[in-house]
Amino acid sequence: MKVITFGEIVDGGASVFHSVATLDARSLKHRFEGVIRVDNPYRFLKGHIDELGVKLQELNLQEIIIDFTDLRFCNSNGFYVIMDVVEALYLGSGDAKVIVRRIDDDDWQRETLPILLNVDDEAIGRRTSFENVRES
Amino acid sequence: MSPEAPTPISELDERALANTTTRLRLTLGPLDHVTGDLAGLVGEHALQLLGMFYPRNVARKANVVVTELVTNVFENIYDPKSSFDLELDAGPTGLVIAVRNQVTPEQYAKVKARVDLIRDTPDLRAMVASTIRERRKERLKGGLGLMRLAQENKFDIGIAYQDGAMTVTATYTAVQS
Repeated sequence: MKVITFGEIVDGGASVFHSVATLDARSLKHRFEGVIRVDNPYRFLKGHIDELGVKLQELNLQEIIIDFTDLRFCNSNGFYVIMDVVEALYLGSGDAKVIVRRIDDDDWQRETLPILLNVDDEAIGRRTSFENVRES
Repeated sequence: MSPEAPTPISELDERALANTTTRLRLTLGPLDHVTGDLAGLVGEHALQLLGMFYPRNVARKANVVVTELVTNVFENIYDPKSSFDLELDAGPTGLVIAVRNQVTPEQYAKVKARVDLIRDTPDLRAMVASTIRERRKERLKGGLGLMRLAQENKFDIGIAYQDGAMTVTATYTAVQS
């Protein structure tokens, strides 16, 4: 498994959020971990989002797994960076199918996440399936 | 009359713990003394506290509401020497969280218009989706918090104004199983 690109948010001297893309054969896994509470997350993640768009062009992906199960909190200011990352993933991966892993009883992941993914768009909805994970 | 015996730990299951009554009050001021992420601090505290007794989903709801409402206080300070009040009540019937702070009549009118829009719209999900997309184009801050509480977290939002103070109240009624 190879790390393709990595972004993080540092708050108060501590790393509080990671956005990591890893590649295994023709399957890309993108994990979101931690909390987004800072005022301007884009400031921290712009380079990562730009790099993601460029690097995906070089890959011939069959599948993308976007994993939100370790994202513990996302404030309203974090919505746009989540949209930026998932947009880069969808646009840069042709017709690869997308599996979204999310927490089963988390309001944000159930209600708002599909809006940020834009699954109401027919082309995106067709490529997307959800795997609902129960918290242990 | 002597007090009842404590409930044996073996009987403190999820159903029993959900009958716990929790009441939290916080008053803090002056506002200009706050230089860190107070909204995050209190939100995480609510998550941990309610997580001891109620379903994880309820504790998460409290975290989101406290974070959004306290953030609003600090993004719209009228009098930096004033204080704000937070009241949180949780129990078997649900969750009520209220935040009160000093605002001008104009600030109150702006927030009230937003609350009225949320309460009156026939399709809140569609409104949230279009608002997020519109605001993303210009990377606009704010404007999503109250909608989020209503659409995502299923809170009923109320608002009142008295003696120069605005109170925003978020009420979640638990689904009885």
